Amino acid sequence: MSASAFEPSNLEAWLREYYRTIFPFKSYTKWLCYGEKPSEKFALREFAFILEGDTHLRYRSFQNEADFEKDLIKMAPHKLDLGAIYSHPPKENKKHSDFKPVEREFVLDIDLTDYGNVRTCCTKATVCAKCWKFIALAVNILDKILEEDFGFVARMWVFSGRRGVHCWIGDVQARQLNNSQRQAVAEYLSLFSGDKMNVNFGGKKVRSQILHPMVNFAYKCALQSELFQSLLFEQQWLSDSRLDFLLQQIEDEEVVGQITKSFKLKDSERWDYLLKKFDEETRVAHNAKTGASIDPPPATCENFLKWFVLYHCYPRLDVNVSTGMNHLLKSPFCVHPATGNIAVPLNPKKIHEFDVTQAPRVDQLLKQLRENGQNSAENRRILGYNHTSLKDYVHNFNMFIMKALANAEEERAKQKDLDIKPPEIDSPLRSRTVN
Amino acid sequence: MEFGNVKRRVVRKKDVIGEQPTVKYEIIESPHPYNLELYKKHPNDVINLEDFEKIAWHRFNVLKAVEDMKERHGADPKEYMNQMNTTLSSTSKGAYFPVAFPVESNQWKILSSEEKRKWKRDDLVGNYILRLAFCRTPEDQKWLITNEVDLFRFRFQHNMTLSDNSKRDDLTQFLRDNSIDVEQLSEDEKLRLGEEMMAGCAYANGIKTTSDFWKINFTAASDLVRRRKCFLKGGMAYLPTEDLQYILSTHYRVQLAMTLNRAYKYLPNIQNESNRLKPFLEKLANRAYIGKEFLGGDSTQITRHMIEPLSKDFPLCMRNIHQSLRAEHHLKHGARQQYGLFLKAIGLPLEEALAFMREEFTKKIDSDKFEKQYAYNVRHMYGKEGRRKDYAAMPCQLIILGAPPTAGDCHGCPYKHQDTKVLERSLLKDGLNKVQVEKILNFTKVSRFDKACTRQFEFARGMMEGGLGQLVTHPNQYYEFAIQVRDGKRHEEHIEVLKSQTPASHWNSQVTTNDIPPATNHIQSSAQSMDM
Ligand code: SF4
Ligand SMILES: [Zn+2]
Repeated sequence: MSASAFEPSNLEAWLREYYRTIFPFKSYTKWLCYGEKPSEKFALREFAFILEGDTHLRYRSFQNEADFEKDLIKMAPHKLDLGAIYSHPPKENKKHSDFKPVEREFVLDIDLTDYGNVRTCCTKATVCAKCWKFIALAVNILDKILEEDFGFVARMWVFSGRRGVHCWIGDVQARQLNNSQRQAVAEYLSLFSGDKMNVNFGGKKVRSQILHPMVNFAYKCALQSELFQSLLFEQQWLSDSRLDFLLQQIEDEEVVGQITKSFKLKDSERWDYLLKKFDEETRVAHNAKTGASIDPPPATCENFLKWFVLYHCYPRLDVNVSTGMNHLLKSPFCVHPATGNIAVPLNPKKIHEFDVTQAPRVDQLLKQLRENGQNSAENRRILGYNHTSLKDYVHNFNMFIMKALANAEEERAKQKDLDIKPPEIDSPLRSRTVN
Repeated sequence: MEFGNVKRRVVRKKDVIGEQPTVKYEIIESPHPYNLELYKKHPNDVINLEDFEKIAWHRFNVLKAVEDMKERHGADPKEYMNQMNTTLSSTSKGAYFPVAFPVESNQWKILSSEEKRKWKRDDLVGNYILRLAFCRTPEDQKWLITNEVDLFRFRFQHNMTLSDNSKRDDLTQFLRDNSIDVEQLSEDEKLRLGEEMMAGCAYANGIKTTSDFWKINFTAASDLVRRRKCFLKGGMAYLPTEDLQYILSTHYRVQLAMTLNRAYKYLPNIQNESNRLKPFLEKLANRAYIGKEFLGGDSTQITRHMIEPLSKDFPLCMRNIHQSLRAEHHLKHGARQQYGLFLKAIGLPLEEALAFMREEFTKKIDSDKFEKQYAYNVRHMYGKEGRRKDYAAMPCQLIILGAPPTAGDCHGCPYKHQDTKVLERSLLKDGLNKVQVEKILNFTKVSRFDKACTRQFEFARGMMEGGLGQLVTHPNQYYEFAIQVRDGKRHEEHIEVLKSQTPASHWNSQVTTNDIPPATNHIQSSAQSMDM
C-alpha cells in the first residue's frame, strides 16, 4: 500500500539517514571489487554524485569501502551514478594522458515511455500495475536470450525507480566488451529501430521469410507467457479500432477477409482465431485434436502472428545506453529523488510479483527501521536493511554478486592455465642478439 | 639497415663501405604452404637495398592491380575473381608472381624450399615496406588498408575454391598460428544444430552438408552479431566459411590500421638517418594517386552565367584566375590555358566559352582585337583549330610542375606558387581559422601541395581532416567532389578503422601488448624490434 504520496521536501535528511543506516555498503563494495583487492577494480571505478539542482560531480573514486561510505554519507547526493573502470583512479583523470575506460558491465535500459501506442492503460510518465507487465515480460524474454545466446551468467535486473528497469551484466566477457561489441549485442537484441521493427517478417513479394532463431525464440517465450495473455486484453490490442492497423500488415485479400470476419467475435475469440490460423503449433494440434482442417496461411503472411506478438510486447531498448563503455547509469540502491523509490535489484523469476506502485521507498524504509530495528540486538548499521523491506532485494543483489564472483574466479583460473603455457612469440627479434 | 633495428644498422653503414647497404632479415622458417598472412611477424633478414626496392615495387604493383580490378569489375563478383586470378596468380614469374602466388599444391610443390622461403619472405617484406610508406596520412593509410584487405580476401577466396583437400588443413593451421580461436564444427554438431543454425546464419542456399561451419567467440563476430546474421549459442557464433573470411579480413583491417599508426610514430627514426629510404618511401606513396582524365563534353552542360555562382566550388587555383579575370578583364596565356580547359571540362561549351571570354576581354579591348588574337586560342582548346586535338584539363601535377607564373601571371597552383603571406590572407578571408590555415601552410612548406589543397577542401566544407577520404590530384576532381558535397551526394568518410579501435579481446592481446619501441633508446634498441 502506498500509504501516502511521496513528499520530497524532507529528501536531504532522509538521504543522509538512508545512506548512514540502510545502504548495503558491504555487498555493494564486494560487487565492485569482483573478487580482487579494492585497488584493482573498485578504486578505478567512476562514481558520479548528482546533487540538488542537477549538479554533476563526475569522476569521483574511492580507495575502499570506508572511503566511499564516508563520502557518500557526507555528500548525501540526490542520485548516484556508476561509470566505467578506468586505467587510473578517476579522480586523477586530469593527471594522466592515457586516462581511458577499460572495463564496464554491459547494461540495458528499458523504459515504459518507449512503448508508444501499444501501451494504452497509461501515457507518458504515469505507471500502473498493468504497465509493469510489459516490463516483466521484457525481462523474461531478454533474460533468457542473454543466457542462451550469449552465455552470460551474472545478470542483474534493477528497478529504475520509476517506470523501467536496467540490466547489469557482470560476466568478465561482458565487462570487457569494447564499444563496437557493445553496440553489436545491443542491436542484436533490439528488434526496433525507432517505432518500426527492423525484422523482415516477409510480405510484399517476399515469399516465406526465414526468421532468425532469436526472433522465433522471443515469439515463443512471449506466447507461452501468461503476462502476454493479460496484456493482450488489458491493453486492447484486438479492439475494433486496431483492426485497420493489423490489416495493413497483410496483403492477401482472402486472409484480410477472414480476419475481418473474425473481428465480429469477441476479443478472446478473435485471439483464438488468430492463434489457430497463424501459430503453426496451435494449428497442427487443433487440426489433430478436432479433425478440423484449417489451412496454413499463405507464405506472404505466414509470420503475421510473430509480427503481432513481438510488435506489441517485445522490449524497446535504448541502444545508446548500452553502447558507450563510459556511459553513466543510475546505481542500484540509488534513491529516485522524485518518487523516493529505491532502485532495487529484482528477481527475474518473480519479476511479475513486483508491485511497481509499492516499491520500497526511502521514507518508509526509515520508518520500518525505526520500528523494527530498535530492540534488535544486532542493530548494526551495516545490516540495517535487514529490518526493512529492502532485505529481499539485497538478497537478490547478493545472488547476482555470487554469480559474478564465480564467473570472475572461473575466468581467472582459465587465464592462469593460459599463462603456464609458453607465451606466444610475436617478435622473434626480442630474444635474438644482433651480430 | 635492418628491420626492427633500422636505426642502428643505418648508423653503421659507414662500417661496410664498399658493400651494398643491406637490410638485415631472418626468415622465420615457415613450414606451412598457406598463403594467408596477418603479418604479425617481422621480417628479419639481410636484404640489399636493390632487392628491398624491387620487392616494394612488386607489392605496390599488385595492390595497384587489385585496386584496378575492383574499380573495373567490382560490380561483378564472378568476373572480378576471374580477372584477379589471371592477373595475380600468373606463374610466369612476372611482376606479380611473388606476392600473389596461390597455394595450388602442385605449383607449390615444384618450388624448391629456397623458392618457398623467398616467396614467404617477399610477402612479409613487401607488406612491411608498404606499411612504412603508407603510414603518414589518413589517405595513404586508407589506400593501403583497402587494397591490402582486398588482396587478403582474394587469397582467402581463392584458396577456398581449390579442390585440394589440404585447403582446410591450411586454413586451420593458419588460424592456429595466429592464435585465432576458431573451431570447425564436426558433422555431428552440424546435424544437431541443423535448420536453426542455418536460419541464424541466413544461409539461404539450403543446407549443404558439404559446407563447412565454424564456431568462434561472439566478440570476434560482432558485425555479424549486430546484423543478426549468425547463429548464437552460449556465447559462440556459428557461421559458414564465407563469413569467417569476412571476420578475418575485418580483423586484418583493424590490425593493419593499428600497426600503421604505430609505424607512423616510428617513422622519424628511419627518416632521420637514411636519406635514401625517405624519398623512396615517399615516391611509393605518391604513386598511388594517378587521376583520371577530364575532357569535358560529358552530359552536364553549363552556361557562362553559371560560372560565377559555381566558382565558389572551384579549387583555389581556379578561383584566383577567375577573380583576376573579373578584375583585370584579361588573362595571360598560362591562365587562359589552365582556366579554359578547366571550364571546358566542367561542361562549358565552346560558344559559351567564347562569349564568356569576349564579354570580359572587350571591357578593355575592342571585339575585333579579341576575335583576332584570342578567339582562335579558345577554339583551339576545344579542338576546333590547329591539331584539332581534344585537350584534357590539366591535372595538378602539370600545373604544379609547369612554367611558374611570373609577374602579371595568375596561373599555377597557389600552394606552390603563391607567396605565403598572400596565401594565408586569402585562406583566412575564405573563413578558415588560424589553426586550419597553419596546417595548410605547413603542408605547403614541405611541398605537399595536394594535401594542402585537400585540407582546404575539407576545412572549407566543415569536414574533419581526412574526411574527403582521398587527395586532390586534379582541379576538376576537386570540383566534382565539391559539387557532390554541395548536393549531399558525398558524405564525410568515416575512417573508422583508423581510430584505434580494439578488436576482439582474445585476439588483440597479442597485438596490443607490443608497444612502440622507445625511440630514444639508441643502443639498447638493438634487441628491440620495430613492432608493427
Ligand atoms: S592542388 Fe591542384 S586543384 Fe588544388 S590549387 Fe593546386 S592545382 Fe589547383
Ligand atoms: Zn498503466
